[in-house]
Amino acid sequence: MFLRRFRSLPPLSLVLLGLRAPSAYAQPETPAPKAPVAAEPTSAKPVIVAPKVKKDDGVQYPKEALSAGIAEPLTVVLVVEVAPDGTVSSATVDQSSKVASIDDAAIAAGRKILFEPATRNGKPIAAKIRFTYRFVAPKSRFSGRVTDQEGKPLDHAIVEITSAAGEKQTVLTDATGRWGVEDLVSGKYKVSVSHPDHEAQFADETLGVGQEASVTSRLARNAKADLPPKPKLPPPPIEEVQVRGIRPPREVTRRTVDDREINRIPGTGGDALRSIQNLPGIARPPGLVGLLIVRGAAPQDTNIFVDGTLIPIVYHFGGLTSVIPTQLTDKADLNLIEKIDFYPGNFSAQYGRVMGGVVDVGIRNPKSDGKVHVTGSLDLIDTRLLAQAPLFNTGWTLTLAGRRSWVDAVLKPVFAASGASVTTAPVYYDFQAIANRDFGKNQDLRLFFFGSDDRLQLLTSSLSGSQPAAGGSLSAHTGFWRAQARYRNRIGRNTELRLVSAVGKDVIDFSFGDLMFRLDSTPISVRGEVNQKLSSRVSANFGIDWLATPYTVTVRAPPTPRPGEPPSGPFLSQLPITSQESDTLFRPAVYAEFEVNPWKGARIVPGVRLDYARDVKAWDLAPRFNFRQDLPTERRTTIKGGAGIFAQPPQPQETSVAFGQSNLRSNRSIHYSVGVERELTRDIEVGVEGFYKNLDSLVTARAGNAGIGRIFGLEALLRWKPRGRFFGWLAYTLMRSERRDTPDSQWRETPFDQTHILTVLGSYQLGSGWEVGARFRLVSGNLTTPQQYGFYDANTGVYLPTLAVPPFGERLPLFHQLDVRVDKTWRLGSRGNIHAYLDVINAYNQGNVEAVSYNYNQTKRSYVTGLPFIPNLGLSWEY
Amino acid sequence: MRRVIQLLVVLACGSCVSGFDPANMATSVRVFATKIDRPYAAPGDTVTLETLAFDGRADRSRPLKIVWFPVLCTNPENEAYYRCFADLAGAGSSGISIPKDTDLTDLLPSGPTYKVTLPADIVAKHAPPPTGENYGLAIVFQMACAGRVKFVSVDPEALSMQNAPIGCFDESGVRLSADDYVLSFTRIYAYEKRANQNPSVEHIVVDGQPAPYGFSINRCTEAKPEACAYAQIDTYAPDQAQEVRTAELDSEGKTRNEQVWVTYYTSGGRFDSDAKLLFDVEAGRVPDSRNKFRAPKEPGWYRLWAVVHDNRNGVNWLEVPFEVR
Repeated sequence: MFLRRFRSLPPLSLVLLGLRAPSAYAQPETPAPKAPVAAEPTSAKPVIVAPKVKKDDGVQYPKEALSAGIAEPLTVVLVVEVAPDGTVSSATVDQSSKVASIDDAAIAAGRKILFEPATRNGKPIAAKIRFTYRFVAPKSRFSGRVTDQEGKPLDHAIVEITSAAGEKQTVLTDATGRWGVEDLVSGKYKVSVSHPDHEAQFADETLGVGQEASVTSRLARNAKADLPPKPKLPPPPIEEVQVRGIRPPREVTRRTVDDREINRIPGTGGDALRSIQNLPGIARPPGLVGLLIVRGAAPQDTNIFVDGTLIPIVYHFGGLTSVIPTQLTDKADLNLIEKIDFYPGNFSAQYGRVMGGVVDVGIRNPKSDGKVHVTGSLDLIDTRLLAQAPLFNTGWTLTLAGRRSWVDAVLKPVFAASGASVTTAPVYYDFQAIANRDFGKNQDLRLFFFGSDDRLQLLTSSLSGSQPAAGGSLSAHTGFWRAQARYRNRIGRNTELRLVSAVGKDVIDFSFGDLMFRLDSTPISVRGEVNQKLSSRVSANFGIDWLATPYTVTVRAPPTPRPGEPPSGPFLSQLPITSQESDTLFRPAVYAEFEVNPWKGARIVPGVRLDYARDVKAWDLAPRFNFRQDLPTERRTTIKGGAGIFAQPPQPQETSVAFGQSNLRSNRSIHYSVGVERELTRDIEVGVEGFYKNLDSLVTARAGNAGIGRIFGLEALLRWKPRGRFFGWLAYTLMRSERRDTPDSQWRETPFDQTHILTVLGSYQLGSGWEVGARFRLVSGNLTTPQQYGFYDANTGVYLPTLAVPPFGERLPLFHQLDVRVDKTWRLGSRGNIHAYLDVINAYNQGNVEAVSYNYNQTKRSYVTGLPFIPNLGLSWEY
Repeated sequence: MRRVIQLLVVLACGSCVSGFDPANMATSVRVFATKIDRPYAAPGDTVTLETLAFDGRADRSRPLKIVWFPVLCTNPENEAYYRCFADLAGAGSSGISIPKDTDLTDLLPSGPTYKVTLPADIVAKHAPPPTGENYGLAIVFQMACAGRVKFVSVDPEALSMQNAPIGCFDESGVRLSADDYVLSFTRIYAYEKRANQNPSVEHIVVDGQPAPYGFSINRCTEAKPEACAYAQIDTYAPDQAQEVRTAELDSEGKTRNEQVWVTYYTSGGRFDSDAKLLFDVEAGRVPDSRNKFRAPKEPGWYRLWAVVHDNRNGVNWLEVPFEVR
């Protein structure tokens, strides 16, 4: 009866075409009827009111359809039976969309509609209506975030989205580096991200139907970063993006210390290279020695480059201060050093002949603002000056800088008081000159001349009872210079050429009593690399790394002792060997490396390097593989790892005819590492990395390549980036470094083993030019070899100790030290700025043990402690 | 400032002794030097060794005896004295096997002097050095022991190569401390052509005055030795003490001079420096080689030794008494 009556309703009289669009995915096709339009035949002419929609959740485009690639707008017309209570008792398809999942979605949605029931004369009755759903596929969208390599968001980065049809949309990032482009149709897009101070990135992305693709871009700084900030403008139409500068990292781990950190880390005196000693993976050097002990490797296993050119001397007088100075100014752009990149392992194939770590000091181009800048610094050790200016209207900009110590004025009376006759008190110089020419959009040329010179000459008459031959005339002169030319050219959109060549001179002249060492060499190096983008996902780097060093070395010294072997007498009293050798160290290399981005967030860098060392007539093939994978998380999370072979030719003294051995081959180390980086907040990131190094073919004195070794550990870094008032980090390294010198000897820990290395530091800008910072270090003690009463060497009158076996079997007490620093800058307007700092070393005057001292016959011992509480004051002016 | 102090600490720590008694205070059994009559001998030469020893112990109830081990170790591996231990223990080329705990005291030659004859082929059997004239090396062992010298067996599997097969024991077999013995070795270099003389030395100089037969000094009455008045002690060696090594040219073809220094020892008081340079390789005679000497607190007669070395195995010495008033 009910059905019959219902069916008797004129089909169209009760149709309500009404749907509400609960979301963007479902839209009403026609408005709902405003008045009843149907009537039942009755003599009393009843009043019939059509049902009205009370609640309709609408429909969404089914995922099944989207997955099937269906995205066009579709319509389904239902016949809906509305019960007197307003619920839907039945929903059937009246007009199909031809897509089952769409029809099903419509039916399901229709069954859930709630109506105000139809009425007749005010009384609810059942009704049957037509109800239409229109399905509109959701639009796709891109969103993303642009940061620099440190994770700092880049404001006003330009993001250009180009569809396959060539339609472009351009947006700018906001202050948080975020951007978004809505209402895109599915398909393939090219995404270009550029920023005036950073290298552009390009990516191909496929946008699925109804999907949102998130693109995270980490841009590397380019040479243009030195330019003054440009006014923020609305997004211009981009016709071309100029791309210059360093490539994105190819390594598993690259740690970069920037200007502010270099200048403000407490306890370093603002010294650039000392700042990186606070990073994980670097052991605390023993005593005052300026050594870089990277992941348990010997100091000579780590090379230090200045923009790709190897330098032979890092510190004045072996640890006093770096040979490339930092100005004490707080104006970063007046500092020569722009940044320091530190690669603790698994470094790129562009670096070779070294199996420990790599430090590459990045030099800042002169400012090109057309103005003259001068800064001067002064402390009790040295005076530094730096001037920058345009070179007339030639397009060249020029920086001249220099430093001279005046420790000679202080130390000359000190030496004299100790009984030494001083001819040349300790004095050092260093000098730098940079000329840069920007040839336009694609090329630039930089000439850099720099060097260092340390001298000392005195006569000591007081001798140590344990090394009586260590006296008399002491003459030390170490110096070097390099003339470096760097040329970069972006040849087209996909090719970049980078050439760095250098010629220089190294002089190491040291004599002490009857012993002497003099090295005179002329290193010539050429590095060339072509970066070729092969496709949207693959780039290739092909390079040469060529080094030729004619040298003459003159030596009068005792033979080299074998590590761990007891001495046969006081070292300096042993029968010396005299030799003079001249040769040319020729070590060419070629390498190829690919940067592959096979899928979203992934970066795989396979590479191979082929080295030849003419002095040992050895070829070294070193394949390497690194990877990084960004995980799809809101904050950047990256897993990373690598494996590779690193070969290091023997040191020149190891192949010397007089002091070394023949038939040597290169030392070798295989690096493995795996880790994860995670951005916790905008400012804080954390990274953990495990590493293992397997060493073999290690050169052992008088035993050939008999040595093997293993180094393994874990590094963690929690870092607060220097983008606001505060910067700081917590670095922890757990490490073990072992070596076996010959097959029949025992495994022993190396002197570079420090089990725990914890560094916590931070610096905070208080305002009004004040900044305070502190550094705390907690490090396992260094290893030492215990000595006991032994033999008397009647020729020299010296007691020779009996050494404990294995060597380096005793660990000195835990090292802990707090350093505090306060900076103050006075801004004098047009007269420039004055900057002063107080750097307090060992604030609570901890007597840290650096060594063990023995009496003359090793029957008594005591600890030798390190630096006491020392305040260090510096002052600078800049204009 | 930081770097100034760093440098000062580096330089200063070269002579840090952390409060130990200085090496020149002879308060135990000490050997100061062994002189070879020909510091550079010729193959087949018979050379005489003479040892300067002193017993500075307060209790001398066990007499000091200097014994020599009649095993001439020649051309040991790496020229290391501890490579001779197999010979010393009789397990080497001598073929003699010595039982453990054998008391050697009365079996060994004793006294301050000892003669050895170098093998005629000592140079020929030495691996030629990479540069320069070939040579031979002989090592002689001796012990100054205030007790009994015994042979002790050494575990061939012992990790340390420096475990000597000889010890100094008391009558009950207890190994004596470092105050009671000195086990020493002397290298004798043999050359076909090269020669050297022990440095000549004439007399001690005290506060600028020659003191060939001794001197007097006031006792120290201060609590800290550093606060005591001091005498300036020097050793006069004539110019010929520094020989010109005509047979040894440096890499640039120039002749080289010897380095000559003096090491001081005393039975009372202390010197500021262990040793002083007398002649420098380049500068020749050092303009100021005086050493500050501070007298002991107790008056009496004491002895002072000035042992002069050159850097080619040459040695000579002076011994003078002095009175502390």
